[in-house]
Amino acid sequence: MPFSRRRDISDFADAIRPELKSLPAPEPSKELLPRILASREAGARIILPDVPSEPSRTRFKVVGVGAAIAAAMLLSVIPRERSHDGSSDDAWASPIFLGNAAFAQTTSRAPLFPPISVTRAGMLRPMSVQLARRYLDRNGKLTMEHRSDVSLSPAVVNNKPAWKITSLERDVFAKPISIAETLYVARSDLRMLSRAVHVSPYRRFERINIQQRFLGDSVSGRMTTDGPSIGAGRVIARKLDPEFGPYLSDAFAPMFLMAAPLHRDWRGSASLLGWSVIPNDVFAPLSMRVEGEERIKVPAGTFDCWRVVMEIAGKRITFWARKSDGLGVRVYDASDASTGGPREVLLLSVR
Amino acid sequence: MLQEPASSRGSSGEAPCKVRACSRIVIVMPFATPRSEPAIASQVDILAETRAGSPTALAALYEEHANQLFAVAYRLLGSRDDAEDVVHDVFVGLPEALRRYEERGSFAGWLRTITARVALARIRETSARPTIDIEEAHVVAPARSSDASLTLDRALRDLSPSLRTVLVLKEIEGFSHAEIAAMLDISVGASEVRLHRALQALRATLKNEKSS
Repeated sequence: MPFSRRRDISDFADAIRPELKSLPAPEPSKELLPRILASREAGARIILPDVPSEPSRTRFKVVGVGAAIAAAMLLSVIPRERSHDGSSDDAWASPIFLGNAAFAQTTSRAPLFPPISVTRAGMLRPMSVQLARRYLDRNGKLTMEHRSDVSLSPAVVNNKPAWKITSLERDVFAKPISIAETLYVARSDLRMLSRAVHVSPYRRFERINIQQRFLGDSVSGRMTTDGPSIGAGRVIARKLDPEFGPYLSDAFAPMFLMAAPLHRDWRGSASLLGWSVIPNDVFAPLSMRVEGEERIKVPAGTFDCWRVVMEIAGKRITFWARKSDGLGVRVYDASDASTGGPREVLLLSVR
Repeated sequence: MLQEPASSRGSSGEAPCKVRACSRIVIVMPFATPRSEPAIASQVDILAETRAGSPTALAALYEEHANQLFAVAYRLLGSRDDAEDVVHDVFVGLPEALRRYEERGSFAGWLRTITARVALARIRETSARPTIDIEEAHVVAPARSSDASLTLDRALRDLSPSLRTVLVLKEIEGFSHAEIAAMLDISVGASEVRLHRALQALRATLKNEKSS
């Protein structure tokens, strides 16, 4: 049907789109390139806009995007295991569940296994879990213990069902540090929609804020810092190569495998998303494989589990997921990147 | 509770937290061979040389992308001269802008977004409705253009700049409403409303053209 006769405006748009795209456009004149080169030769310099630009915070609130909502809700803390210091330009991720692997981003290899297939997204349910993260030094002394509360609750983003994941971690040694993350994922396929991370304090700043949105194959957003030394902030704009998907956030890691059909021969690849502020903290490919079955006793109870071995950034981390629903109950890293000693995450409670 | 996983301690090891080992399969994780990406490496080289100020590399990027970028600017501005100025500015500023480009996204898409933003800034500067003179109309309408496309081109030009901009960015250039909202500093809802109005106006114009 010709576009001029379409009644519904969306039908009209569908009909007119190919016509619009095929409209002829002129080409630049042959003088343009010499003019550009002459301008450069003469010393002309033009500052181009940063792209993609970040919407204003006001607009974020209007459209109800999760990142801004989360920003108003959460507060957080610095992981003291960060050993290097520097300016906020070095901002990098601080995964709680899977460690600091995302910082050592390696993308030179293709994923070892097929992408994790999210075939059981319906297995997720509203829940709250409490986790303990413990560190030992090389001499076996407990140096740090954090408690994390992670909750999964229904939400709606852009009129579509979503899950809202909030993670708040505090140092049990009563140090005034906290890490908070809020993540929204599509309920149908667990694709990330938006994310906000707050770490307080962060180096010389009272707090660092990471806000990310996920559109197509890109993550965009902004890193900002709060006083007393206010940083200029940085735009986040990175491509998330589909080859390395699906992408998951550390806060969601304890629950992500609930949607995967784990079995004795299961294997899959995914990537752990970093803060994406600096080039080598965008994402870290993660290869997982069921290595065995074990009954695991943790403070939350005794569970029959799949023992899943993860390889991330050249490290091997062991992860135990409950057979009953895939929920992560324990993580063991023999040599944490920040301390050099063992790191363990245990499920304290679930409801 | 902090114990080395059983799988790395040999078969005799027994972790306190583990009540019963049901089965154990030792897996050696293979290392994948690095991928070879000659095409990407080639582009990386060109970008690196452009970033360093090489006119030859800049010219190579121009040859590859100028036509598409010029079309983007032209659609938004409706003026050949203005579109050339935009493309000029983009390529003059490109070596310095490349220092902020991390070579992780689509370079063509990045360039296209920059061009659109520079063109939009130009529209804001002039605050004038795009105009087209007779000579440009001939340029815009090559001989192969059909009557239908000429009619559509005219209808597009009759739209107000705010409606036309959203229509061009969304329906021709393929930007999302979120991206358009960011470019124009409006809400996503406003972008959607403008697109709806633009389509309504375009349909009305085309109907009138057809009836007359």
